[in-house]
Amino acid sequence: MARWKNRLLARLLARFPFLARRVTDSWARQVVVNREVPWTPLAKPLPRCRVALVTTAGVHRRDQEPFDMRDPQGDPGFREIADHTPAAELMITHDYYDHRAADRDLNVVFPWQRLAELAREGIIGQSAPFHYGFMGHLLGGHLQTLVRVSAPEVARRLLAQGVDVVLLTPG
Amino acid sequence: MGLIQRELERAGLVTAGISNLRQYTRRVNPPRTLFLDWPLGQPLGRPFALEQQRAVLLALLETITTTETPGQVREPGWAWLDGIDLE
Repeated sequence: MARWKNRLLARLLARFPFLARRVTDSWARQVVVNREVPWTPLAKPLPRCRVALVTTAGVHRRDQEPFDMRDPQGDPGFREIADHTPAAELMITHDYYDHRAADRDLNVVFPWQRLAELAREGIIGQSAPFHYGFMGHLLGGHLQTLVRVSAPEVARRLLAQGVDVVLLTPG
Repeated sequence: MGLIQRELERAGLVTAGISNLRQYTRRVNPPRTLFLDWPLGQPLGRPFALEQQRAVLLALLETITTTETPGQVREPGWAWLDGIDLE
């Protein structure tokens, strides 16, 4: 029942932008304001960079455990997705936004096929061997797990693959 | 999403993110942002609109080569009805 309500709310927010702004601004007010900004300078030109995607749109492989929609605070874990995974082997589990458009074409939230095209054209050096899926809309203690456990682990994996640049996309 | 972005950048990766939530992004303060005032759930544009998706991805990459001030938000100002819609 709770999942049905969340999906309905997600569709209403997609349909009525003024309502979405009001609701999302109320979410924003609960977020701690950061004054300092971490910064890593670009060390080489983009045509020589290895680029990975990280999305919070709830994308994962069909044979991976779906993101936990029963926990009202969300799922702070991540799912690793190989670069050349066919679209038919991927799916979205996320009740907190309207993903009907992304269900038809995952590039709408996870542009792995567009990124591969840019690599073929030499605009970037190459796509990373693996990309990472998270779900947004985390609450409570899961935010600490995200910041202290999941994100540093994904950073470690990306660095181990020789990734230079990460592009992040929301749901 | 910005929280993840900040941790990746802190670990030594160069990051850029798309935002459709202005107030949220202002508070989280990620290093490089492309802001699009578009509906939630379609940050790259419309399904199968290849040129639109590509333009967004290129604009996102451009924030990496043009952002000079950490936390800067780039706003191309593209309206949702703009762009190529192949639906």
